[in-house]
Amino acid sequence: MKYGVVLFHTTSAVMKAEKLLVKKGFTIKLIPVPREFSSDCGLSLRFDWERRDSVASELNAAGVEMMGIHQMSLK
Amino acid sequence: MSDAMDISRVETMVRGGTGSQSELEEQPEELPDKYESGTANMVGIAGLGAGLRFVCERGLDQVREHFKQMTQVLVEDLSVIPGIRLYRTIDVEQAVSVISFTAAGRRVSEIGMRLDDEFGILSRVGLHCAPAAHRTIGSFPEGTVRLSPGFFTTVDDIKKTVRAISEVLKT
Repeated sequence: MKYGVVLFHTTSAVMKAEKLLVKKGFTIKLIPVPREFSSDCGLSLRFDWERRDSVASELNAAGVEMMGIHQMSLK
Repeated sequence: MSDAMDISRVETMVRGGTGSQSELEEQPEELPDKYESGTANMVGIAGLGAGLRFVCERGLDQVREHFKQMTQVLVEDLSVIPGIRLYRTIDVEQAVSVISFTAAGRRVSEIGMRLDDEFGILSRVGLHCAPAAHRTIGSFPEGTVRLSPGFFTTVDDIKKTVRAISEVLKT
């Protein structure tokens, strides 16, 4: 499965996004920020890449500010 | 703080749950109540007390000895995995039970995620909010995977963890 990852500016935004997306039935998981996207050592949100558009629109609609959405490469 | 400053004139930031004067909406003027809205962190305070009691009962030496043993087993077993680089002090007497490592050509975030996903082993990856420490040990900006055995960690836990790390690095 191809995964995407959403990066946020704050941990509270990560938690808000997690709560929202779980409630909406998305399969997600909080993971360490992948090093290829940022050297920040906090949390990011992993999701099924096929649902990229709906993840982005849910978060936008809820006003959760994102730092970026990336596709993950698993070596 | 300057002696001239009247602390009771500092504005309250949070109000409500006055604790002592429940009929009022405003915080009472008395100190410390004025600045202590709501309930104090009793669970945290009780937890700290229980933790200190536990360490005193076991004795600091016994706790320290356990940390030392676990760290030693972890270091010995990890260092035979090909491509692993350990970041630690050479002097065992000075070491605390925190071990950082990286693996050649592998991202620390991926190692941490897979240890959690596939084996239920929690680590902390990245810079640990200590960029200067990572510059000093030469692991900036990638960071390391950090493991920290505790008092309830067993040799069996360490062996399982090292096996899991070997598995993650194979695929």
